[in-house]
Amino acid sequence: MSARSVQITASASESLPLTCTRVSVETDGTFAGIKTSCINSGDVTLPAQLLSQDALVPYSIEDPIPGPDGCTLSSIFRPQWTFSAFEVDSSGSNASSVSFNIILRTGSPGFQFPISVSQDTTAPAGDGSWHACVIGAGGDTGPPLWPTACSFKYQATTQELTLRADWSCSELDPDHP
Amino acid sequence: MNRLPFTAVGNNSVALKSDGHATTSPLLIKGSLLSPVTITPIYAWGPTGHDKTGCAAAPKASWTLSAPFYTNQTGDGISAIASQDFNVLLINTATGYEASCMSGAGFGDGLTPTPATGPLNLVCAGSEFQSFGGGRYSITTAASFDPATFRFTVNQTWYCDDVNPANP
Repeated sequence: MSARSVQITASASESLPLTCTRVSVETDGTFAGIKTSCINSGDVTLPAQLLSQDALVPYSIEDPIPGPDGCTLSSIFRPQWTFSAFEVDSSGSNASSVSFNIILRTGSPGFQFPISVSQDTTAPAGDGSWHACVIGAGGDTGPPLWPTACSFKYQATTQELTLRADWSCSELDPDHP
Repeated sequence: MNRLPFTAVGNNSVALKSDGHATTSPLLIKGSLLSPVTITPIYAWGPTGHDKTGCAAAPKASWTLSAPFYTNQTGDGISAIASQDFNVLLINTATGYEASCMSGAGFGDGLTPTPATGPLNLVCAGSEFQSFGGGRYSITTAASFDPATFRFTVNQTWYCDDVNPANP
């Protein structure tokens, strides 16, 4: 690769030296038309007539396709989770359980299933204490955008939810995007 | 937003001329990012043949048409449907890029293939349709074949950044 990068457009137009054969086509012994086949036994070479040769930005031919920020850049410049389906379930006098769904916001989110987060104990929620996250319906670890080392707290009096989470982006890994 | 410092590292070599100037300008140094995150970028491999020696020597470019094949089937309105078809493998000698060019299914109303007269527009597809990661530039090809005159017409755009033969 060199600094001199060019875009070349060229054309050619010639009659091809094809040889044709014709055969009758029959269906159940009845004439059903003529099939003509035209080929050339060897390769045909057409010289290219140069139409234009335009300089490009040096070294730009190996540039990637421009696109919106993916997981990595969104996480550096504007880390955001979208919350939904927030619930506080109460049973009995004090016991209650907090659960909600989250999606990591990136410039190119594609299609993501909301990740469900719930607490791992039946201790009273809403008192502002930290709870470890139970991720997913079965608590299993999932794809890279699922949070790890996750905990949250909910203060019922101020209705303030705080989430602390680690996550990873692997869209720059061509083998495991 | 607060300032976000970036740290990266990279290196490259360049030969010097007798007067001390670099033989290549500008010079590209590919970097690996160290902070705020560690990233070693993977570059797109670019359109076929862009760094093939002789690519930019455009006046010597040509196309090789391999196995051109035209068929025309007349219809009888009963059991045989009129159709015509053209196929060829188009090879760009400057880049080595190969495209398979073919006409659409030229079926007509049964008795007459489409188009009844005039050239067949061809769709030419190469490796850019088979792999992801080629990059922002793609080789594009437009071609046609006229059954009445056997005239094959092609217009193609490709890309070169091999060593400039005038200034190696």
